[in-house]
Amino acid sequence: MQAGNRVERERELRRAVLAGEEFAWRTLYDDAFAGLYAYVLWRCGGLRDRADEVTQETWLTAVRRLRAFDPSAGSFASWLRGIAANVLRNHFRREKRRTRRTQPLDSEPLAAEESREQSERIAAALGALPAQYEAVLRMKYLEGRSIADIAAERGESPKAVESLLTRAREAFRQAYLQSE
Amino acid sequence: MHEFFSREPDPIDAMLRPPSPADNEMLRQSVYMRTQRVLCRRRRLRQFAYAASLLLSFAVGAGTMRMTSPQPAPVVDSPAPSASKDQPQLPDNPLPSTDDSALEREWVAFDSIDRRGELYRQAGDRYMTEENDPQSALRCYSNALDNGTEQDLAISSNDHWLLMAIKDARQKEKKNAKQGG
Repeated sequence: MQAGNRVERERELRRAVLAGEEFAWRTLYDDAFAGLYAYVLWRCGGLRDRADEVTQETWLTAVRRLRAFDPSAGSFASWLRGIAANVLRNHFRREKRRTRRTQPLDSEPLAAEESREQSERIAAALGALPAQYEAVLRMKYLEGRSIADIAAERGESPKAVESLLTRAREAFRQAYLQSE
Repeated sequence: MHEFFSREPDPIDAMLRPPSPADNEMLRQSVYMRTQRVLCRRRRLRQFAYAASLLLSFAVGAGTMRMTSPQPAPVVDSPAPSASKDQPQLPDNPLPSTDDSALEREWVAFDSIDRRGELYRQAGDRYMTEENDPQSALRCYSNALDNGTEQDLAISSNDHWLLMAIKDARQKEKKNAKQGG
C-alpha cells in the first residue's frame, strides 16, 4: 500500500472509531492482530502464556489511547508495536521483582524448565537491545525481509544494513550471555 | 558458553527465528470483545456528556433570557397613564396575552375602550402578585373602579385584599357622602 493511501485510510478509520463506529475498529483490529501477536510472541521468546497476556494488555492500552495515534507519524502496526514494547518492558520489570521474592517451582519437568528459561533469556535479551537493533532484527528474522528491502525502507545502503545487522546480532549475543 | 555461540550454524539464528504460529482465534475473539466493551463504555459516556451539555446550554440560554428580559419599570418612571374619560378614544386592542407584564397590561387597559375597567383590574392583580408593587397596583385598581360600574364596587371573594380595601373605602365614602348630602 502506498504511504499516502495508508495514512489517509488509517486517519479515516481512526476518526470513525472515535466517532463510535464499530466496523472501523473491527477493520483496524483484524488488519493488525496477527502481526502484533507474531511480534509479541517473538519478543517473548515463544512463551505463549506471556504473549497472550501482553497482547491483551497492548490492545486494551491501544483502544484507550487511540486518540494519541497519529497516522502521519507511522503506521498503526508500528504504533501498536511501540505500545507492546512498553508493555513488555513493564512486564519484565514486574517479573524480575516477582522472581526475586518467590522460589522456582520444583514440580516443573527439567526439559520444560530449561526450555522456558531459554525463552525467558531470549525475551530479556531482545528487551535489552537498543530500538534500532531490535528493529533490524525484527525485519530480518520475524518479517523475513531481504537486506535490500530493509535498506530501501530505512533509506540506507545494503552494506550499512548488513553492518547494522552484524552489530545487532552481536549485541543480542552479549545480552543473552549476560542474562545467564 | 562462548564456544557454544562460535560453532556453525550460529545458534543466534535459531533463537531469533520466529516461533511457529499458534491457533490464536480464541485469544483474538476474547481480546476483541474486551476492546469492544471499552469502546461501548466510551460511546455511552460521550452520549451522556452530549446530553448534559445540551441541558447546560438550555439552562444558560434560559438564564440569559431571564436576565435580559425587560424589568418592570420603577413606579416613578412608569408612564402612569391616567384613565380620564376625556382623553381621545383609541381603537380597542385585542385581549392581552397571559404572558404580558403588568406594565404592558396597564398600557393595554389604557388603550382599551370598552374593557378598560376589567383590564386595569387585571394589571393591578399582576402588580400585586407578580411584582409586589402595591403603589402601581393601587393606581390600577383605582382606575379600574373609576372606569367600572356601580356593581363593580361590590366586594367579591375573588378580589385581592388591596382591591377589597379600596372598594370598602369607596363604599364608605359614598355612604358618607349620601348621609352628609
